[in-house]
Amino acid sequence: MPQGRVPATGAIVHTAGALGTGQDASVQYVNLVGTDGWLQAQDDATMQRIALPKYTKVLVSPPHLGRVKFRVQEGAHLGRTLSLSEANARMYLGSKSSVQQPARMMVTYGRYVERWISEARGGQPIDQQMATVAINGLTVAVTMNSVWNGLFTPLEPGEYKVLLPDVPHRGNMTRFYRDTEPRLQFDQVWFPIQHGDNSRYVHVGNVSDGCVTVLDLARWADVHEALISHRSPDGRSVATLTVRGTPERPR
Amino acid sequence: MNALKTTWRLATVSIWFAVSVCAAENTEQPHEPLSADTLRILSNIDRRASERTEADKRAADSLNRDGERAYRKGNYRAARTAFSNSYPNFPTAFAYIMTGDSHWRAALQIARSHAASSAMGTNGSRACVMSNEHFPHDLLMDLDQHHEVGLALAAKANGGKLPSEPLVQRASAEAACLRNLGTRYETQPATACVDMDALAACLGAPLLQ
Repeated sequence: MPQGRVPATGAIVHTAGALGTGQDASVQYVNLVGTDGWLQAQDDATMQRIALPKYTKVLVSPPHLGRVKFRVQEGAHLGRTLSLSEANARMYLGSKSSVQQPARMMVTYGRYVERWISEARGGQPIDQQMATVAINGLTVAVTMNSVWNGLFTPLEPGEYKVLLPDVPHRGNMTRFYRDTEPRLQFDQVWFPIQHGDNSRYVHVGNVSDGCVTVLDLARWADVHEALISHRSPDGRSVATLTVRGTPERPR
Repeated sequence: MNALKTTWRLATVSIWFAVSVCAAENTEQPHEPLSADTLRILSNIDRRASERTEADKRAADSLNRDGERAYRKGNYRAARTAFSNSYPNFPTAFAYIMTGDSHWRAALQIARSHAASSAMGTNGSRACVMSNEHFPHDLLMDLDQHHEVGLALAAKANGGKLPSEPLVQRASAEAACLRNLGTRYETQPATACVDMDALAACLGAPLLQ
């Protein structure tokens, strides 16, 4: 434990110092998240609940009065000091780190399918620009656009960064998919694609607003893990997305 | 269950034979029978009605409020996104009608914005901002899954008769006019250019002021 002398009195005092600089601080990672895909921790200064995605790197101080404080080392809350109860810290934080290189995500355009029926959306017919995603040995069907007439368009072929998710996306946009696929989880994790105003995402669902939308609800958890378990060297992105081929319906 | 079926049949029959007035052309015409898409969606709504919860309703209400806010600001694309995610949580006539209406207002808004920024052609005409390649299919399928579902739900809640509420009446006239437009463009070549003024005339003033 660091120590120092108080100049005015000459007394020697022990101090933990600034959080994360003490010798007892340890690097850990968010190893468990809720079914929405996020760990909720408390900002003790504001009493706000802050959401962290899986594998977020944190610098953890020893428990004090039943709580564990830690400093966030990456992502939207970089540098912020948060806390968990001691029991939750034991449960949710751990030693498993992310892979320190971005995942490779390959999208290949396929057919434009008219009248794809979404059971999860009450039998709605949707015109889908289909594609296939390959990532980490997984291959899943995605839709690259479902809303036409100039409102949204499929992503142009090219290379993009898939960014670390910053905040939980609204549950209201995907919660109803659980009615048809009870195994669906982590649906509030939407990965922004670095393009324009970053409003396109890799996410789960049946409707794509020009996003990479994973149609197989049961396999979203695997895609989520393949993405969230990776980090670029700067810690800002999780994957490199390559889009190949040509959409049959471009607009 | 039988009562539900009877009410439902009444609503369907009522809609089938309802006479709507087209806002643009002001001609009376009989409403088309409900399509297979509309009937499938309505059947799904009925089938899952008992599974809906208060939480589902709260989720839908919250998205409807977002949709209304965006709509009143003229951000029809955002309004469409909110309304279209409301009805899978908890289906309402309002969300279905507003999804269809917002979609075509957004399409019109975007087309006009492109038209305004596109360069004049050598003959003084502007480039076509919406071709007919997908327009009739898109419009007619959208009407079947949004306007028609919303109107049928509104009628069902009103004993099988379309309510006299201005929003519902406006939506009914809008749907009839849009259907006319879509049917007309079905006979046009894919290379034809969609008349944005005709689309605007069908939509008229925003449904929510």
